[in-house]
Amino acid sequence: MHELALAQAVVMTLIEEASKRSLNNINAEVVVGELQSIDMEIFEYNLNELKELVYQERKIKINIRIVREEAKFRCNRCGYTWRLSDLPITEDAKEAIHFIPEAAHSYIQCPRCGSRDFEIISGRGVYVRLI
Amino acid sequence: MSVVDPRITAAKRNLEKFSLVIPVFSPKGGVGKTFITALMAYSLTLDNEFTISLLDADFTNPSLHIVLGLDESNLKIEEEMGIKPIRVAPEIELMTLAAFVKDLTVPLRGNDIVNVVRELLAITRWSGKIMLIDSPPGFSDTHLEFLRLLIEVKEPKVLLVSTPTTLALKATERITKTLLSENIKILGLIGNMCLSNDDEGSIVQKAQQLTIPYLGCIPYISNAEKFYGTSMLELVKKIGTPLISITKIIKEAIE
Repeated sequence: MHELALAQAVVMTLIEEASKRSLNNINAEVVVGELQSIDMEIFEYNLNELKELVYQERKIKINIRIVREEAKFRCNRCGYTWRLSDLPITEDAKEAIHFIPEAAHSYIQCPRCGSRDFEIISGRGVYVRLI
Repeated sequence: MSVVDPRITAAKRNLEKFSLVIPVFSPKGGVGKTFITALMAYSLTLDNEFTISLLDADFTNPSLHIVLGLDESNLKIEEEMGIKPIRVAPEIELMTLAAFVKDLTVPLRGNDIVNVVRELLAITRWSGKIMLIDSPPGFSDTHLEFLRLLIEVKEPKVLLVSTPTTLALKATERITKTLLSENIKILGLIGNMCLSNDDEGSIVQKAQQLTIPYLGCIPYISNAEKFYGTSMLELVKKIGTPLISITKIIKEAIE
């Protein structure tokens, strides 16, 4: 389960941040980018299980709000911007991008000029905002 | 509100599990970093003492799998608490972008490269004791990000590869000076494609001049491609002495 690895990374990071600040209660927003197409049900389930485990073992209360972020791209060559939903993507490409979002550069081209030199301006993967 | 990248914590935790992490560097292209990485992997597993994790960090042009005899169209990623590396031999595993993009190129700018380094290190479930990182030529985003993450968890010990040519030796000199000035440990210098005693002499002389260990010289192998795949083991045995002494030094470097 790739979602479990990501959920573990999030929880480990929050434990680290809580320890750094000597907190036993930490609030965070977990931003999940559309491009990585994470199974939200599994990801949330993993996060909840891990949060519970952390509370039982370390008495650190983790409060998480999950925020989804739409994937947007900007072509470095012609400046065109577009959304993930603007293009058809094969299942193989989707799977590769799910694991490594940068694989998008192999499978996606700018809809206007055809370049693969583009920037993922939002919605790449998972990151944490500490509140 | 501050933003934190959860992959950094996960990457460091995964790197901590290794006894030794060896980035294989050479700023000059074509000196045989990939070939030497594959040879070292087989050489280190000869006596079944170590398990090796290989990471092909030449993201835009992965080729380590080819030297290891794997066809990218057959590379399948398996999920199990993350992603499992590809089994190359009983004691050798590999992670490569080729498993995701097959034979397509991956045009990446600096920030994308940093993301790939972090993502792969964060989600791969390694099982090896020694990690060998086959790097692209140059000394930029890939190398800098690996060093940045490694330095915080485990002292990296860089393996330098050079051919006996003026350009490769000059490139070796430059990167050595930079690494030493940053107190980054250099395991030593391996010469590759050495045709004569003079060739070996230039590698030895360069190592002495730079005050880094000389590890040995791998001779020029005219039909190297013939050995790609499991025949690498045969080649390791054929090369013999230089590889045995290099392997011994690497084993001694394990903490």
